[in-house]
Amino acid sequence: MSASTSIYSLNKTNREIERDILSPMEKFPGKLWWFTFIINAGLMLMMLGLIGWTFVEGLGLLGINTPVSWGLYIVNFVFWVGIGHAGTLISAILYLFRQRWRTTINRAAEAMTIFAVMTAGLFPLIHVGRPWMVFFIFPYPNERGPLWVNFRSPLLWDVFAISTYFSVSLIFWYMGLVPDLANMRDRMKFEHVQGKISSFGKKLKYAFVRILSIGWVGSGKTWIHYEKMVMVLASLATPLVLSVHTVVSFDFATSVIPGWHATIFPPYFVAGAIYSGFAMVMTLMIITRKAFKLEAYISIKHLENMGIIILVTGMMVSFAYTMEFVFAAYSANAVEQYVFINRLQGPYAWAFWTMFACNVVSPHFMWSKKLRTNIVVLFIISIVVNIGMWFERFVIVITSLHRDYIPSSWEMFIPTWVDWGVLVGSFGFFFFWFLLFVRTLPSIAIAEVKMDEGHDQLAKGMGH
Amino acid sequence: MVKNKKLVTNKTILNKLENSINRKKFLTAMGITAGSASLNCVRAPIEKIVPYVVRPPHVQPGIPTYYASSRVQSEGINPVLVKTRDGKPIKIEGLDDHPFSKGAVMGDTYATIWDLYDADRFKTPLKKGGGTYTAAKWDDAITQAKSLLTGNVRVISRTSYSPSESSVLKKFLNRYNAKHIVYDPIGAQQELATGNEKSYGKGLIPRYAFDKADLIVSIEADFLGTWIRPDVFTKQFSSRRNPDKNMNRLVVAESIMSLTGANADTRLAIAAGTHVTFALGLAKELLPGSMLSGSTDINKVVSAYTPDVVEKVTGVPASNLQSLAAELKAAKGRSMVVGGGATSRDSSVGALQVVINLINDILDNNGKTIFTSAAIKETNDFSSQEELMALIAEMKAGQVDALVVNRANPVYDLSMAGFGDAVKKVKNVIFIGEKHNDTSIAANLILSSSHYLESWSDGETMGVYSVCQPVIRNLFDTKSPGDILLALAGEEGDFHSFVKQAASKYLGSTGAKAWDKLLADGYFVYQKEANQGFSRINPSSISSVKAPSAALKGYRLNLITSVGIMDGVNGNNAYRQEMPDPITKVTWDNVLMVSPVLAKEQGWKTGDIIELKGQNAKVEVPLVIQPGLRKESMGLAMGYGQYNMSNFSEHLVKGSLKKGELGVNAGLFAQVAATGYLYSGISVTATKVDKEYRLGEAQKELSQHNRYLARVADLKDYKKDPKSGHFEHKLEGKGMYVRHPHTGNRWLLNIDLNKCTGCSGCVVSCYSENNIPTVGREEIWRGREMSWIRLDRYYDYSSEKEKEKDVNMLEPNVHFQPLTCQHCEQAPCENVCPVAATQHSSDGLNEMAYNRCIGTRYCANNCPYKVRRFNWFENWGKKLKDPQQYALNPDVTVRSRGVIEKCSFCIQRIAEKRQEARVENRKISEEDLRTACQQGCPADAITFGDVNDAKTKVSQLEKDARSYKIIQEVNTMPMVTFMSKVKNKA
Amino acid sequence: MVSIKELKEGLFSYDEPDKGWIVDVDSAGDMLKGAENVKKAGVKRFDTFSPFPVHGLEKVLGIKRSWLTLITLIAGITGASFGLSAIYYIDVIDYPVIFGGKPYFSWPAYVPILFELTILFAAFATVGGVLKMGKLGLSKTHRRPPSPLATCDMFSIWIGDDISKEEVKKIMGNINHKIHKLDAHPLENGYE
Repeated sequence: MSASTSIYSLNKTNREIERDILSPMEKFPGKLWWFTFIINAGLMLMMLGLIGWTFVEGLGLLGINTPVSWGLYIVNFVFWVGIGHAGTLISAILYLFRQRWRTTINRAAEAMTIFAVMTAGLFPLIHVGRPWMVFFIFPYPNERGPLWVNFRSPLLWDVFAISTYFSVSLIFWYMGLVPDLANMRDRMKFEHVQGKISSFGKKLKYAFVRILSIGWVGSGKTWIHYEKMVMVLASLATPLVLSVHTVVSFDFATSVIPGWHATIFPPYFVAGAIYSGFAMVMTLMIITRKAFKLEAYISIKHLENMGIIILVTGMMVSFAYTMEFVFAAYSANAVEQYVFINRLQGPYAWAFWTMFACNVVSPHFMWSKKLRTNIVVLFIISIVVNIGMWFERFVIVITSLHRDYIPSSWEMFIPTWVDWGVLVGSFGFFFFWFLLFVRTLPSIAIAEVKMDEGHDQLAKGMGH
Repeated sequence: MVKNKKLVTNKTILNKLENSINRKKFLTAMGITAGSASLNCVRAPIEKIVPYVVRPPHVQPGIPTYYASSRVQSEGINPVLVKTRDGKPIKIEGLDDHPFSKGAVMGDTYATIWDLYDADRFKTPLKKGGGTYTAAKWDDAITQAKSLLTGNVRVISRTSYSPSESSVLKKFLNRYNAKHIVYDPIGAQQELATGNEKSYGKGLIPRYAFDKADLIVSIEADFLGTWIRPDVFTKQFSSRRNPDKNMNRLVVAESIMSLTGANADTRLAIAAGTHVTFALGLAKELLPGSMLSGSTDINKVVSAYTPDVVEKVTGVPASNLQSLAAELKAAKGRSMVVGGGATSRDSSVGALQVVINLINDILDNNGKTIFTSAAIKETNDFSSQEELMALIAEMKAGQVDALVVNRANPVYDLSMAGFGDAVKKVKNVIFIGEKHNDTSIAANLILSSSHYLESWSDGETMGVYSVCQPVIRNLFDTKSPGDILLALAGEEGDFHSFVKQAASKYLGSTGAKAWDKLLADGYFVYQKEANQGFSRINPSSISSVKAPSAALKGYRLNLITSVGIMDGVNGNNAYRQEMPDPITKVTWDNVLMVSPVLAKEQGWKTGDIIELKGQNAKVEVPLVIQPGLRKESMGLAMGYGQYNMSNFSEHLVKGSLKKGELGVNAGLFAQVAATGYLYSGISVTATKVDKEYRLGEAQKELSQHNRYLARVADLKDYKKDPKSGHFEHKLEGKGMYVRHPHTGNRWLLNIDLNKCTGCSGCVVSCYSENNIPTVGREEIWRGREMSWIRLDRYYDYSSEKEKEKDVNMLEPNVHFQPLTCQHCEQAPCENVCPVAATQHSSDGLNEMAYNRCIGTRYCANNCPYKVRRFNWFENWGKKLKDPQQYALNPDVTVRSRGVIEKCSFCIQRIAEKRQEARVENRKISEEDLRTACQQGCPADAITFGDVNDAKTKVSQLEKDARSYKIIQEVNTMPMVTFMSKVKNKA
Repeated sequence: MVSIKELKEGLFSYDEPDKGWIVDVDSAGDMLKGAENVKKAGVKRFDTFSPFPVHGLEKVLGIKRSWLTLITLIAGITGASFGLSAIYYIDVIDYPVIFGGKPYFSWPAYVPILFELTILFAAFATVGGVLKMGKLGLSKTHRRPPSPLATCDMFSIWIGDDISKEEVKKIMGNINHKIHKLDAHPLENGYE
């Protein structure tokens, strides 16, 4: 691929590239970092505290009740899984489409995936009535019969989908890191030789990179297999990422509850996931490039592209919303129709209209080049979209459940402060890990950037 | 005492368990108690009692023993069958072959099991000293009591149906030449007795035969819910609700929606406090052409109440009144007119009843549907208003030296008459009762009486002598009320022999055989039912009747009784409190029932707090919008707001309720007159106050949104097309799977909505059978009630047109639908459970494995019927307070926190019967296998059995044209069928 | 049809440098040219070291294509069939249970799980394969890089055959280069 098609060009030497990227990790973190880190760690601890309390007292501390047996926990679960998707999309799908601009953002995006899935993974565990019995969901030979699991249950599919997704993303991400870790190792080696590595922290870090770089030396032969592996993993991750949110949507689509039981759910959920995921990537990238002065790497063009993707997926989601109503109208099923009327004007209409404003209206600002190249606008939109996507899940889960077939058991769902506390805490949990990541690992794929640069120069035929 | 030591060991074990009761430990504990019980029959009574079914009589561990007994209370006698396991009663059921009840008892009787194991009962007699109570020995207590009973002694109590107790009381009264005051908290009985006394000179409560009447007209009498003998009447009424045989017709004229009104074929909503006007109007229409038409006394009174006047006052269109009169005329001798209940309580006692008597006389129903032979109550032993007032006066004057309160709560019941202040002036108050109430706290000596399951007693009503025998030895240091009075009267011997003696009079023999048979059967018919009714009424009795002849202005309050709580004497019971009121669906509260049109006008909504002001009362009470009310009529249930009712409930429910938090005392609004109390049409003012309140509403939605859940047809249409009122979903295709063959037994539950009156007996029976936890107001507000079978209540219209006609929602169709797990063949809940905790059995049950469940609650979401319940908190364990643990059914797992539970079709009963059947190598007969709800239904609306066997009743009912299954479009293939309701609109 | 030889090449794995020369060159381009020369000169054991993959090296290093995909395929099939047989054993043979009136073996419900298992097995096998071929792993954390800055910005060629420095010079021809003995790289103690 030639420089002309690249949406950014650095003309930096490899040495400069790695200095730009690695330097943030080589000096002691600044006040800003510590500030945000401590806040998020605090939120995380609060969440863990609340979870512990519910373990002791019981789920009654939440607002859920008999018709609405799933509350904010499941909303958060779907939300966070969705966030994860953009990472894989960038690292895998854009890779297969040879989208070169992905190079500088895929590492951070993948990291986001890992942490988002970790956060999401918390919720299924803590929302069950008897978390200490949760190992029942694994089909292992046991002396209770043996009692096996029910392979027909979408929740079990979830277990497989999420764990597969998490582990595959993890190794994909890690294998991508190996050359950069080796690079860090070799940079540190010289300090080591000169006895500069004295502090415990540095020793630890050196050991850390030595071990994690599993003896990578950049051999040509290994590179060939390595590239093949990236290709294979990318092509495995692509259907995987699509399958994960499909399976998550099955939790709802395969049920019999009006408002859940819809064939459009899989594509609708995937689109929504990418939508919210890209919004989150945008938020993070805007912060990272500012904080670590990586404007050269994460150019405005990157953000613009993401803006366009948000516009497109946003319209897909809007289409899905419309189709839901069309189906309900066409179904001639009174119960189904009532659910959707209830969404528009029922007691939770406010949630629906918030979702509508955030997800259907806001992305259309992206039509204007002026707006989609304006960092501030992009930042606001990215946040708004995420709020909207959270409410989308709220609308799906709560409004469908609270008024279904039997009017006698209709109930309102009123979240308690525990519900809200855990929601806020989950963000703390996510950012806790993300902040650790940007401090300890290269948040841009150095080797890939070098390769792009190198190949540019190769193509230009100019020497080093 | 050895037995107490033994009991202690059991207690200690169970106390240990309270920290962490899980199924295994619980069962071991039950095992231990069972073992120790069976070793020396700790809890088995001393006297010889004869088991009902199981022989030989000695207790076998694990095998239930059934005893026939009766619950003798001041409202009447409930013949019961007590199921005891290892010497402990665990379930109350109706006594099926009892001549008049035929097994009919209602929720309040099933709930008495909690009264027995109430942790707040008096453990010993109590002496007051320096403001606090200290435990006393019985001998001291009795001697002290005797010393206190000097000078001017008064005894106050409610009426009694027990001949032995009355005669013992007589002895007592003679000894201290004390005066006995009998009062009636609700007033239904007194109104009836006094009214009849006026009309016929016979102060008896006649025997009603609702099953003999083709046309029943009720004016304010909630005979299906609270009036006189609701359980018996429900049985009789429902036996005539078969649309294929000549079905009866019920017309109800009432101001506040009651259970009876809800079941009416035609309901005439009258303005609060105008029922006498309506009755007189009806009488006027009927009078011409009758043999009483000549009577001047009568004409003088009724002439004023022309249909137009009646319309103006009551709001009932003149045409409706006339057509009703015409109907009644046509149904002469085949009809029955009843009136009464708390609402009918009038400033002149028996006013309504006198008019009712007149009407029945005109229609000459006496001796046809209303009988004086084998009457419910033979004598009117109620003290007159004058006597009662006199007592209060002399108490206030300090002339009463000793007041004995015999199992009553006058301070609360007569709060409007200022009994509370009066009792403070009495030197010595002796209280006989089971637990604290507003009166007991004024007593300086408390004699702890036993629960009816611990004591000997007897009762007579409807020509049947019923015996009440102890099925468990006293849990605490208590004596049966009879024994206490006997001791106070200084008589020798115990009450047991006393009852035996009394019984011999009825039995006509003192032989042991007769006695044993009585104990085994639980009853003895001493007076055959004869078709003999009242004589002609005395026309002058009418002349005293006064009734409003002009519309009542302003908000008008009626005091009503709720099915669960009644007069509130047994309010300290979690089952009664948590059983949603059939009409308002509210738990743990009494609410102000307000008409929809008024609420709309005032901008009130259900749950708002209203400040209600009366002459000498002011309360803040949550309101509920209640269809079927005239604009300015309001209803408030009595029996709540007893400040000192100790809260048994507290131990069992989350967000424990402080004392005095259970509703408000409606009695305060009653207006005291020289000759009686006015309970209806009380002028009040209501203003909204801005307060947050978490009202424990079990159901919030009024309409079923045309979803054909509870289906109704008009009798005429039904005759034409049995399927009328139905809407069937046609399901094409066979589906993608081959269905599992369910050979052998296949259980099916059938519920006849035409019989079901919504009394909620099934609900309480199920609670008691299946150890269902009670959770309290706060949790129910959140929507976390645990009932396995619930009673859905809807107000609907058969067509949009009718709906528009009745914008004020005066005459909606009221639907009751008991809803339980449908045990779907293609259950959505089973597919979604990741750990296979719920699955299908070969005999078609949807099974739940509690200890496999991890509580994802996915099944609860995916259940279209929303019948699955989740244990949000630990509902037993620590909450159980000795001796409550004994009330739990050892055959049913106690569910831990975090698991789903739901109706199991009483699988423990199925298993038991299957076992027996296998041993005897026969099929399970549907007679001996009955679910708790089926047993709990006084209306016989529920049938359960094997649908694979074409001969069983269910398989026939399932094929009936009225039978249908709900939410078919989901293709769940439920194993519960409903039979559509048929309304007999004239 | 794939010949065994091709397959061998395809699964050709990293050859650990033990002796010989390290030739540093300036750029990726030079490295490519140099490697070609080395191959022409008939050197048996040689390899290149660079901070990023340089396209065109495949032929030079004698790997027409990486047959890693073969491992992926086999693993994927294994995963699916393992899953299916396990589920069949559990639901039909070991403990048949009726769920919602569905048959004991309701295959449509198994599709998502089988799919996930396929991916899982395939992905892990692929990574495993690379580690094997690249002789990577936790046991190799103390491996000393033949070219100390190859992961940073240095392009080097390793020649493992027994030939003299002069011959190497000859092979490199006009490419600007420095020759070091393996394990005697000057940069090892001094960075810039």
